[in-house]
Amino acid sequence: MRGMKACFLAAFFILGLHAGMSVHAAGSNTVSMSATVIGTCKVTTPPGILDFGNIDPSGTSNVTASITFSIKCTKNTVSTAATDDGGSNFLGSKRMKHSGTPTAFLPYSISYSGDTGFTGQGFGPAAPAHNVTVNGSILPAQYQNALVTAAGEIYSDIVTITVNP
Amino acid sequence: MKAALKQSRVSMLICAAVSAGLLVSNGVQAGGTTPLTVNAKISGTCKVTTAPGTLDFGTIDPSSGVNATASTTLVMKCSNGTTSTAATDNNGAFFSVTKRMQHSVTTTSFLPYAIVYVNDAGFAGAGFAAAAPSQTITINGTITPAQFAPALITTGAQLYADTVTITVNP
Repeated sequence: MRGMKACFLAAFFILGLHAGMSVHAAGSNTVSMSATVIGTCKVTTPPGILDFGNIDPSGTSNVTASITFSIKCTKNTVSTAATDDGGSNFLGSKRMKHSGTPTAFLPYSISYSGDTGFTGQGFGPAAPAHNVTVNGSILPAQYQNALVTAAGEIYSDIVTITVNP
Repeated sequence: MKAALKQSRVSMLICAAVSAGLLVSNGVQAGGTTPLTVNAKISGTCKVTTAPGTLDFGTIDPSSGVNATASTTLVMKCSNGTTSTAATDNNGAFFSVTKRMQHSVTTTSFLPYAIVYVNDAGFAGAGFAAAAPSQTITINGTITPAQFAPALITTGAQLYADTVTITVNP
């Protein structure tokens, strides 16, 4: 915090808000100190693997999986919708890539619940964390013709999730 | 105060590069991020998509000297990348040395028979979507004269019947 204060003070000088004022000027001067506490949310417990397991491609129902992670937010900052980067293989939808045949993909989608509306209580150890659930879904039309995974093969993707603000 | 000002001068040097950016962004930073790993596997399997009809040997003349035969078909699809292997079955409900049909009234009477599968193995699956290609498997049934010659007659609505559970593989 001291560093931040100093940084903002430095910024004031750069901006010239106090142009002409010398820090070595004689006499009495008042210097205003201020600091801004950023309203932000951070992930405090990362999610485990969103594992759809072994999918039977002859199925006719959505295949689903879910996983949770925890966030904390600045005191009185209310979380807004989580976002993500679409993952490493996005094309029209998020896609997992086959480990043995890198031209084969398995599309999927994810949604977030509990991501918005959490009023933060700060980041101290005693401050309550909040669980966000990641719900994954693969439609029959997405998996029915997917290339089989032989022993040791897997479809996978890595998505970078951002909690906001 | 003097100490604070001194610190601010030092900070001014340290933060010179970053303070402009801080001022531009007005102190707003992006929220935290976390990586999420997503995994799945697709099983290699074949499934019957159209069940067979009844394998009906019809009315057999027990005095005949030739095999009585009958055929029916089923349709299957397999996972994309999976090649079918031989179909198997549970031998039906009355197996004893051979598959057997049971007389509907005289339940101690049986009519032995055999079945073989054609085009069950070697089909390269392309998945299960509606447009994915499928494979027709033919079930050929045979009853030899030695099997039907001594069989108890069926009268009226009587018949011999069995139910076999077929498995397409893998």
